[in-house]
Amino acid sequence: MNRGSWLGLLLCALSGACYDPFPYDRHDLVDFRIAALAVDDATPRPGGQVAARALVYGGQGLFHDELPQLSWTLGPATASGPEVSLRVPDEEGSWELQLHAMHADGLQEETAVLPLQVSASRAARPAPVAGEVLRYDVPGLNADGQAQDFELERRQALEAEEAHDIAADSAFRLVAQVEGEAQGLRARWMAAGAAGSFLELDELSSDWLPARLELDEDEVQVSERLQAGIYSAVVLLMDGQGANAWAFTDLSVDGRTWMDGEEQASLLEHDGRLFRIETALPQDTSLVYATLVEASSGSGVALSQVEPASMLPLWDPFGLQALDCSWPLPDQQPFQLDWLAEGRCSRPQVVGARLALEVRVLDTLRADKR
Amino acid sequence: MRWLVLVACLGPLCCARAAAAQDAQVEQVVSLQGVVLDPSGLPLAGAWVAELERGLHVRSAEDGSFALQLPAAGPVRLRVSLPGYADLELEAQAPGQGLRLVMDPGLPAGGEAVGEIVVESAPDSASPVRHVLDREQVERTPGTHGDAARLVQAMPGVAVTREYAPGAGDLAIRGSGPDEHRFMLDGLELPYLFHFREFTSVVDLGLLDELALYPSAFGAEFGDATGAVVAGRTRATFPERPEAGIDLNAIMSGAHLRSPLGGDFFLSGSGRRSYMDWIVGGASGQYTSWPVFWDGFLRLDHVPDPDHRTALEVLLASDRWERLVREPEELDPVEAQSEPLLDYRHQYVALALRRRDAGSAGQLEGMLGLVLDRWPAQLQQDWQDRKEASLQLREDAVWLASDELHLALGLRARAERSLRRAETAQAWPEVASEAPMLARGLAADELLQRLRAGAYAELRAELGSWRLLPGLRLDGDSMSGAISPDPRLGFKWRPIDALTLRGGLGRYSQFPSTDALSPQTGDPDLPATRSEQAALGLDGQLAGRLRVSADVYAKRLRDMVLEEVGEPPIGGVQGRVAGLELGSSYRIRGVFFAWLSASLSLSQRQLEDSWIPFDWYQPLSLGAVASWTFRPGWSAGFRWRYGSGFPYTPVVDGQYRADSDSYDPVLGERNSAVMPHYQKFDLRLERSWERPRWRISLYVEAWFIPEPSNLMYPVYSYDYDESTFVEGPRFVPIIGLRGEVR
Repeated sequence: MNRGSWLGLLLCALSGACYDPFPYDRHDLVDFRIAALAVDDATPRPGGQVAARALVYGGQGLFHDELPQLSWTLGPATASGPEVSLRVPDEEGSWELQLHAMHADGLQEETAVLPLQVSASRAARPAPVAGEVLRYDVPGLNADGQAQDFELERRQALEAEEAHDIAADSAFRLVAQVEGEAQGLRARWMAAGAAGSFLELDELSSDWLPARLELDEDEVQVSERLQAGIYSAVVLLMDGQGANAWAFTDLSVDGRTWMDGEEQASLLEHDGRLFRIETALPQDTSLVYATLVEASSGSGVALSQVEPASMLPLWDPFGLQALDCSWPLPDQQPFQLDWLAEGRCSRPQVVGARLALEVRVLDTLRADKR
Repeated sequence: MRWLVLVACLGPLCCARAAAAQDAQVEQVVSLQGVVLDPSGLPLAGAWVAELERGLHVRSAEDGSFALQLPAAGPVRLRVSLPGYADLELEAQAPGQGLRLVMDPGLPAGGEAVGEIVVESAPDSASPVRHVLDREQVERTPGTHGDAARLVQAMPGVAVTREYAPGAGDLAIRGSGPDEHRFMLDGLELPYLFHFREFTSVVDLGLLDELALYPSAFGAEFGDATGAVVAGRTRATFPERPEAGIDLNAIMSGAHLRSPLGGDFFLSGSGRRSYMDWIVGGASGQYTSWPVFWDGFLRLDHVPDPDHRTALEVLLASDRWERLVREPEELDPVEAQSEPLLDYRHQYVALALRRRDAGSAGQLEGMLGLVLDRWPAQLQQDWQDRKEASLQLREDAVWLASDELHLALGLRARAERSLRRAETAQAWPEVASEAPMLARGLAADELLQRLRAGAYAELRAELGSWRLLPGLRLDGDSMSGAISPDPRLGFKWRPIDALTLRGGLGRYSQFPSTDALSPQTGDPDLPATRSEQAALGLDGQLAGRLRVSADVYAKRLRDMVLEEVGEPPIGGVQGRVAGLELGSSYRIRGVFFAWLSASLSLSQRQLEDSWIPFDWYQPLSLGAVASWTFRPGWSAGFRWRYGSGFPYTPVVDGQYRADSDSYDPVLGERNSAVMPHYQKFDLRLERSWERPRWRISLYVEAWFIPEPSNLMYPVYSYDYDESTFVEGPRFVPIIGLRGEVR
């Protein structure tokens, strides 16, 4: 929209009028929303196939209790589902991939578009593959700083150390890893439930503070401080053409509190998510069997009855056959919570299932390391 | 083309000879003395008092007095002329003293248009309404930034716009938008009238003599416009001695100068610059380079006598700023670095050579102008560069066949050469008003040449209490291939001195803009817009100085061009307009003036078989202006404006763009939402110290904008799911200083 009047803005600034800022920005996953959309090739060849997938936020967390209806259109081709393959039109030129997402309540709907350049001569650029999100503790940065404390150069100069948990008066530094070429990629960070505040650092990294910050007349104000707990975030990697990728990460704040000081507890990480389990696991555990139970966290589930999967049965080694998901799941690989976030399965479809998951046992929390 | 240039150059010269050698040999001198006054009895300075037989002449002094030296005693025939007043001719006996020459505000005989309504004064009017503002009104009316063009918005039929909001300076007149009007200064059409698209007009008030508004159904003199005509005129009176003035306020400073150069030459000049960039350090949250404007005006006049004038003038105007295109991310410097930034510039230079010659048989007035306009913009990797050169020609001749019969003939031509270049990978609707080629989102590289020409003839006949103005205008356009024969008729009937009925009707045409006709980004097949218009007005005089007026008008518009942001222009749009205007005024020149106005209107456009409100539709507007010099050196002013809210097209949703992780707005029904009503109160107190050679005025103003009038325009959340209004201040204090040396 046109910002229009320079004089109006000047007088706004002088009088403090203007308008109250909107409560949420694009960092905040709050309501039903298409958070990301990706294709495997943004310059497909005429008559070929293009794979498309979407990340739709349901409004509660990175999961869906009822799956949204996703309808795709590319020229005459149509498809439905969270990940589809569409036939590319035979004519070269600019085409628009359209996605219509309807919430299960039938009331909320969102649309998304992606312009595709259909060309026989263009060389396909490999789509980025999102890797792990690295987490660092930045103890010199907190929500009580002045506006100048958040300036880019000052934050870049702060020391950070790898950590999976931060104190409530500290900040995370998040760095998106990319498998392959990272040149030209740009990360966009989002948090489920509008948790905390992101302050980007460069194209692929951002600081995250466990508090809601607002800038009011050059003063930083804290409108909300997060309680101890785990918060879920998503990073979207964009190449500027639509061959995007995303990854998930959980952010632990004041782990000593939410871990309840249980000495036997372990902290597991699966696809960036953090889970507290009540039994100690060997440090080299990489695959576990666990029962998924409902939880109020951003990922929507917790792990129960976790045990190392040292011996896999020949038939249905990962437990996927027992699942009755709405959309096909990839074969020959353990369950991923990404599928829950992307809407292949609803939460009720996986709760109670005993599944194999790839995990990493985290040796320390912040408290242990200090 | 060449013959047009030839006519422009040679036309005025043929009459120049007829006026040569006016200095008669004075052997036996007698003196004829008197004073020139306006109808309220106040002195008029700078009026020419000419003895017609010998061509002797003199100007009235500061107190209106004059002393004309004549070679012999006996009867003489005099003509008194002053811009803004009807020429006065009379016989007198020389020698003599105490002659009182009272001039009527009105047009010079055989002037640009016959008949007018001066806002505050006697309705010596013909069919088309003509509102006129003068410097006193502009200087003393609060809430206008001391700018005449802004005070035009107080005239009947002109929509009330929201202060500070985008479009605050736009003129919507009798149901037509800014694109349908023509803005001229001394007959030259300008690329833009307002700095910053809203703030102040490009001419220093110190050099502006008069601003006239022809709201609709005007005479055959004006063409290529289906809306209104706003015509400014710079000061043309010969200064007796150097005059200078300054104007300082919080936004800008300016100075103007007028000085005789010896012989029959005098020079006028002005310069202004805004300095908010110096005050705030060159940048703000949204404006990374604070808006800066400057303008300059220089004119050299040669006036050997009241009937002959040659002037060469140059006007320069420049506006520039850099701003973030979208909502600034103030907390996050990385995001701020990646936000798109618009570098906007718009500059032009206008050169004009004009000549006016008058004699007992008529007058000839010509103007040849060249306007060079440059409009570049840069937005990330996208850019536009629009350059336009236009050569403009005006020739007007009035043949005074008799006191009752005048014939006006005129010629207009505008040769245009436009270079339109743009490289843009996407549409940028956010910059539609600043960089329309980027908003359109299409690459362009084209050179367009265009010739528009027109001619008119208008008969001005006095038949007893009737004045009739039948006219015919013919316009043609090389780019659209359209030819427009437009017959027009104006009339005035004055059965008694205190009552005047006036009216006008005719056909009006306007050719599409060069950008709309662009083969690359527009539609070359767009036809000319046609409009049939009629207006009827009644003026009455009650109890001496109190004037009242009532006007009704109607317009039908066909083949209009509607331009939507990011879309090709839509042709073939129909429109209908009707309205009623009521006004009253009271003035004692130099002491008190006041006027009230009320307008009711209907303005609609037809899209896809349904009639929708026009963008500038304002069903009700009210206005009141008053200024009172309550004691010597002290004056107070008041202004109130009320207008119902303009319609606007709301954004009803956002569509996610996956390549940029952004949202595109999804628009609702066109003009289906309405802004809240608007009203504003302005108060002014001015203290002046005046001596014969100088004057200083210190003024304070207070502007009040009660809620919800301070809501300026809607803004939307990042995904367009939420909206609110940007609020402007409810109270604005202003202090300023104006000085003049003469």
